[in-house]
Amino acid sequence: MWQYSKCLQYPVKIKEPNPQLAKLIITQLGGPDGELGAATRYLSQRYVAPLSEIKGLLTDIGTEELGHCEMISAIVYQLTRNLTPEEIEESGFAPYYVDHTTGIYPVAASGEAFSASTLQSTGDIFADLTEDLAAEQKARLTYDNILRLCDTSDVRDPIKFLRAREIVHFQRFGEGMRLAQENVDAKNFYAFNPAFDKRQ
Amino acid sequence: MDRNTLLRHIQMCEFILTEVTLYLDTHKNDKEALAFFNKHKEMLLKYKNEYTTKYGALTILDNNETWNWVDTKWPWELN
Repeated sequence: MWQYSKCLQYPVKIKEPNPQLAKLIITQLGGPDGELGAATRYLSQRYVAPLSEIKGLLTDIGTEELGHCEMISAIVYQLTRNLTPEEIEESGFAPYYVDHTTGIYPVAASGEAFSASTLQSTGDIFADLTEDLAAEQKARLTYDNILRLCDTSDVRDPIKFLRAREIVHFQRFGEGMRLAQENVDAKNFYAFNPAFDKRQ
Repeated sequence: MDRNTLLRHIQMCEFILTEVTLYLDTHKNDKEALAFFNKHKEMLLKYKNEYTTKYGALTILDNNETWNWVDTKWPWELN
């Protein structure tokens, strides 16, 4: 189970609302390469992982991603405080506002709602870890794109922290991949699925 | 320490533990990393104890005679 701690992983303290930026950053909550997808992916994949070390990685990185969902939500919440109807209309935030007011709802920057169809849990450790490595890179490049469009330091600071975490997770999943490869037939990694087939 | 400084120290210790946990998951025999983890775990417990005594609960286990869990700010709220 999980226990909640009343403390963000990294501080989010944004002075000025900016609904235009909120509409972009919310993609890291509900978008195709966002934190909610990451948490769902890793926490779903871990059950049949063939090695305890990989179960540990998926559990601990998945848990950290839940904390990142909270950080992104905090950023969007603080960027959409005290808005006037004029600001909502001028910033392009109106389509989100009409459905959700300033509540936090997981959508992509395009407005499409979060969907588990952007992720997989295949029951095959090589397929899953390869997806996880790609997912960390896709999340990293999304943060790079956000940083190109954002020049306020109090928003850039937590975004840069989150970007750095993608790189660390990529590194750890790479080590998980190495551990998985060391535990199967070295001549043919794909001779059997270590999570499903019984070794002959 | 004031509330914000203490909370920042807690965040830093928690972050170190998260980071070293991920490393230890794939390097479980690294004694140096484990010692680093344990050192910061002690620091975290000390800071958390000071924080919860002075400023209220961080988890539901931190309430004592009064239920102060709902009295303190939520982490997404500004000071």
